[in-house]
Amino acid sequence: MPAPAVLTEQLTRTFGSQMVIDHIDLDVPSGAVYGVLGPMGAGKTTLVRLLLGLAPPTSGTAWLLGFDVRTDGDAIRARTGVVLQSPGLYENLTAIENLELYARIWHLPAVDRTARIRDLLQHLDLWTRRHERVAGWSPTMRHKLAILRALVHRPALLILDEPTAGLDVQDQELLRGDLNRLAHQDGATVLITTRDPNEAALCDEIAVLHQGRLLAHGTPKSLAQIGNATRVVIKGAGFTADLVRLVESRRDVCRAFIDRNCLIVEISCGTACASIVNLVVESGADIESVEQVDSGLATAYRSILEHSYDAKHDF
Amino acid sequence: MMPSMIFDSWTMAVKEWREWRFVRSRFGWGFLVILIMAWSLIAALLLGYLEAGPLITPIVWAALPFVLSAVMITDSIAGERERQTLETLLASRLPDRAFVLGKIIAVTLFGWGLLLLGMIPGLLQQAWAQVGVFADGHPLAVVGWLVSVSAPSLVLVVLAGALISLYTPSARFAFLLSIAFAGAVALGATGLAVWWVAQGGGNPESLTTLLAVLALSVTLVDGCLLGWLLLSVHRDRLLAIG
Repeated sequence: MPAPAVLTEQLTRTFGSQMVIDHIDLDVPSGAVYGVLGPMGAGKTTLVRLLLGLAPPTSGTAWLLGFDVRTDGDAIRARTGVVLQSPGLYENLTAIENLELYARIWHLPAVDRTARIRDLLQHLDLWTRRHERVAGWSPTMRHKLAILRALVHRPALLILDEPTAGLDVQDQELLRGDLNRLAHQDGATVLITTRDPNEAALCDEIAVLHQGRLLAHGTPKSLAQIGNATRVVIKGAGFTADLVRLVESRRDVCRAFIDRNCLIVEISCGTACASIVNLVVESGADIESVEQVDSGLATAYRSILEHSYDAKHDF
Repeated sequence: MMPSMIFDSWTMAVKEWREWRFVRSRFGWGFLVILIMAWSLIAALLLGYLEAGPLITPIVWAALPFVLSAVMITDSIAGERERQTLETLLASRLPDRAFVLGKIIAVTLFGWGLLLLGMIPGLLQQAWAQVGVFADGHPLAVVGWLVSVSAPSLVLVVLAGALISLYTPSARFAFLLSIAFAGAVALGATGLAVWWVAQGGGNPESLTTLLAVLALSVTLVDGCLLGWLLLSVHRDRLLAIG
């Protein structure tokens, strides 16, 4: 069995009295696309900094590609490609100069450098604009270039801090395909942090991070069952805010909200949706149709956060 | 290890120069070159007319390149942090020291270029008119100042600016402190020149000795500052992560 690409043991980081990373144990298998899912302020960026050796842990430790983050930061960074939340591009340099800079930093031979940069720029349709200064580029194009920059030296581990946040849908799809190919064909490990459960659902494994704590981890399929939530979509008319509050006051209802002419209710698994429907009818609303849909990772994720699970869930 | 450090530092220096092609000024480099050369010529004419000593005039010529170098080194280090390009750079395999050394090389070579630009028109004018630095028959003093004193003094300003950028929380603060330091160096040099004249200066031998002592002292201080800088450079400090 190959060694894990990322392994943390009780990794902790505090800033003053605030615990930003709270005794995290992670085990990211080599060659996997691994997602760290959490809302803003969950500690995702701090986790990335700790893993890259850019900030020392307060206690605990972590190993990336077999190297200790406390002592082998240089070795880790030599084998890792990174896209942080800010693209970190030099606006006064052209696209090709930005990539050349990092290719030189990674000591790519001159011949390989030129070919690699051309291939990367052509892949994301940026080749024709290679001599343009980045200052005039859109956020999407900058983001694409930042991702190419992280790939320029063919890293064994790619860490992406919210990689698709600035991309349009088409480029998101392209990037996801690339990341999967990188992991499954080239054997690289990809670690993604994200706020979007739909993006995390495309990963092989996910860890849910909230307020510095690891709340759950497992495959998307196994995590989708954590919330034990089912979504009931009631189409009709006469849905009011009072009705939403009334429905939400039930113990077996996780959440309710109105979306256009639908009342959407997320209920715990095992709850009979008939009782919810009766409640809605009794309130005077007109029901056109009722549909029960499977819960997805998004619902489970919300449920995990809202119920502030005390215990760690491992699936 | 050493060739790798040189390669990395040079990579950073080239990156800096490439960025400066598109100077962050509405006037551009052409304007700056004209300004420095005009400053040199006007100072030469004025100070020659005033019969200033052979030390004062080069100090005036050097003032602009010194201040500009102080500005550029702080913008280069502290400014990079504020433009949010630093963290990505330090997340790469680039050694911390290569990052700082590259910037020092870039600004120092650039500053020396400005220094030459700022002196040549004035020197030519004073040589032609036989006034100022050439009035007392001290051409050697001029060359001595140009090479052995002003060059390490500019390095001193750059190194101090780099250290200030490491230890200050914002680019603006670093910028002000570095300019203040460059100003202090210029004032100190002026004070020394005035003192030398008051001591009955004019003797070419004593001037040469003074310049040699000055050059050696400044170079020694440069060495100490560089050592301090290389010892204190660390990713934590560069990124200001507590």
